Amino acid sequence: MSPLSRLAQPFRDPNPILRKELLGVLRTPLYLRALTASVLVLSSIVVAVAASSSDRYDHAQTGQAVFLLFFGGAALSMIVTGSVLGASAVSQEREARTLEALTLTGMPPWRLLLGKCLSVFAATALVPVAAVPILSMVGLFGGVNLGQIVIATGYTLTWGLFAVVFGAGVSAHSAHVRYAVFGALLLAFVGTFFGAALLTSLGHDLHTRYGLGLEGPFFFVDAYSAIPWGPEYRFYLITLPGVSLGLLLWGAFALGLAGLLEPGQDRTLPLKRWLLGAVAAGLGALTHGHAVFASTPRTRGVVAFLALAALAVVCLQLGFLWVTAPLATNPRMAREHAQRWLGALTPPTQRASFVWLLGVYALGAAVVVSVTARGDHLALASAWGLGWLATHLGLVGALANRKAQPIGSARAIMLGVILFTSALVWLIAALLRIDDVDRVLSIASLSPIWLLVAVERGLRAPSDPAWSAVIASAAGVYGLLGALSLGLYARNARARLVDGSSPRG
Amino acid sequence: MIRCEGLVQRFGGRTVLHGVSLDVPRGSVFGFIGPNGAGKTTTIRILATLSLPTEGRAEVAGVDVIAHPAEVRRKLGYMPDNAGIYERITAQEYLEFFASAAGVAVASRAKVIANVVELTEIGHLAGREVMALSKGQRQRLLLARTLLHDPEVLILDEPASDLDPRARIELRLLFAELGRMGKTIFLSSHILTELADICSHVGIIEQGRIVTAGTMADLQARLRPGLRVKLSALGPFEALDRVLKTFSFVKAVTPVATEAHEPREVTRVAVHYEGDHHRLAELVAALCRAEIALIAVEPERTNLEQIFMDVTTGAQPTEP
Repeated sequence: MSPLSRLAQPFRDPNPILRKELLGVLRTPLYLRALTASVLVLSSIVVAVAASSSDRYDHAQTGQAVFLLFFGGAALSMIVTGSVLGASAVSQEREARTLEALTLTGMPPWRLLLGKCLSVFAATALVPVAAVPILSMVGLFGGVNLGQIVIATGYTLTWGLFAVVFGAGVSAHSAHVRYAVFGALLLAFVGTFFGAALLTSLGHDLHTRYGLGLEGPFFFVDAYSAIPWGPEYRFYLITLPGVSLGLLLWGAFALGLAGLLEPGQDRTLPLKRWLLGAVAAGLGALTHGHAVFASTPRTRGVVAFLALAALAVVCLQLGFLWVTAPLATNPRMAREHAQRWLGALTPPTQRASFVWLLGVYALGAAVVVSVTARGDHLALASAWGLGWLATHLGLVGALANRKAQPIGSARAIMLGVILFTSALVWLIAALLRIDDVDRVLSIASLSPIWLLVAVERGLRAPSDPAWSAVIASAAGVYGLLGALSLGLYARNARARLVDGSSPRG
Repeated sequence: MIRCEGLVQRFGGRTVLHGVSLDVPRGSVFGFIGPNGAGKTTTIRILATLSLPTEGRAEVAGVDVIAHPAEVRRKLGYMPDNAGIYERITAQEYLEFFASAAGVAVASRAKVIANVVELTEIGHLAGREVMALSKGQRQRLLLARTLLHDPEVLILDEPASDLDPRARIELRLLFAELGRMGKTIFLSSHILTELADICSHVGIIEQGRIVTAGTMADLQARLRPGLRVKLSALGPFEALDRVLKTFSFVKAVTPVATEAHEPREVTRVAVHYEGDHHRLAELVAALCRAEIALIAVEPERTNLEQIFMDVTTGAQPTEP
């Protein structure tokens, strides 16, 4: 299927779960009654507050009160209904013994979960959508502009989406609807409480500094128009919400996927992937936000460097965790993989994980180059790419070579290697009496960050032969690592082809 | 078409299957029989890729169920015992939903659905909500759903349980039709007389072990050799017995109780003899020559119930 056809597929043949669930929901009389009741309750409260406020406050203040009340009520209603409906999404299929039939159709779990989440979200979002006429009151009173209404709508729908996806995540692990609903409501209560507290404290700081009109968790509505464009705007209003919302949704979805995987499959895999993404994205966000936290160029540089170094180390470790996710869920599949000629050349890992890991490296390279690039972009990107490739090969090679060992021992070996090479850096520095920290780090470290630093310094001071030596030695270390890893892997692949044995763990 | 080799399934410390091995040829209708708790559903769930066996291997349509479950699912239609069903959609929407979920192409979907609807004769139910269908109609709908992706193999776990006699007969005719279409059918049921009517092969499982398996004729020859016929005549038992015992190939003649509504002069006997239907013709001719008024000749078909009783011990599965 061509990429264009793939894009058009959801429109030509929509997710069957979404279609079926929406049909079922709209034919349930209870749902329509509950929807009407919710809209009536919300409308009555809003109208009552508007009537009582209009005597004491001016029109603009009344408009703001109605605005906050409407969206507060809508958010609350979406959180409760989204959690309850989301929690019954998968567990109801289990209770009704229909999940197996779905599984046997060959539909991938992510598509099933996506269909469930979208249908429940659509059913949940009908509450605020049906109550939209009430919002016209804001137009009568004034005090709120259209942009704020759009932002508040997005904000409310996002809360609802969270509730739905977390509910579905809990539901995927539960065999009974009542337990799933209880768990999802508990999670929604705790999440709403802490989320609102977090947003309020974040908003309080910005409120004082920029004199925002709205406080509390709704500060966002005002912040987008009140805060001037700059590092803070980019960090607080784009990067931070984007990364945190994306990660939360991904985490909830991964939780749900883990519950839908079949017996024999590695149920920790979606969560491992999420963990890798979460740590990398978190550190990337911090790197991006370094200008906000550090006031002077010197401390800014240190913050950026530390964040990048931490990112490198964490990615290294998590990348290793990732590649250790076995290709096969059982020994027979692993053996078959090893016996195919292509199996001798590809790592014994999930192919999707392998490609994904390379994608994460590329993304990391792009982020780092965009943040630190002051010299030749191509040279920096090449240095980064080569460094990570060598590291990756090292991980895969070591894993392949340790195939006879349980994964736990292989992981311990890799940790030992990282600690040893970190110590080696300082040992070499002490032996050579080098006092330049950047130069020390560039010599023998496993992390490509330091190779990057070396290339950058070398480009800025081309006349300094010491930097050429550093780059050459670093390249030598990476070359050695790469060659060794390939050698290990090839030896292992040959062994597997000969004896047909399979990786364990 | 379906092969199991040494399937072992353990749940905790309890072993449910002890090395189950089966071979179901292509195009056969295989009856899988066993008492409750014998391991029928456990075996079926392994074949349907819903459980991983602790040991052993299994193949469906030549594909390893452990290594390639996704491929097996494309070739397999599975109808579980007491399957759940979505109730708030119509039968037509139900089939469209499963056709879409199974990846049936949009262009051919309507035709595929029309074909299975015609085969299972549920066209008149298409617009009705599933919740309004009877148990028998639901079973037909489930079977239609199972057939949507044109599977080579059908695994049906107790498909006729809880059905009324008419629905059972209709379903049995449908299975026979599917068998004629060349589908391999693996069928578990408690209703042995029905299995005897449609199955070409049978496997009996007890306490997680296959106690016997083979074609119906094989089982009959191995476990209950010879042929049996029930004869009804007007007259005393002794007259019948005297004529029949003149033939050396007759092994036994035993009186059988008559029905309460039958006249007193009716006598019924069960005759166990060796040979083929020509021998039966000889017996009938001899009785006619002896002027015995024969009123019914009922050759006994393979008696699955008797075979089942002969090979099973009736022992219940034991807890660890």
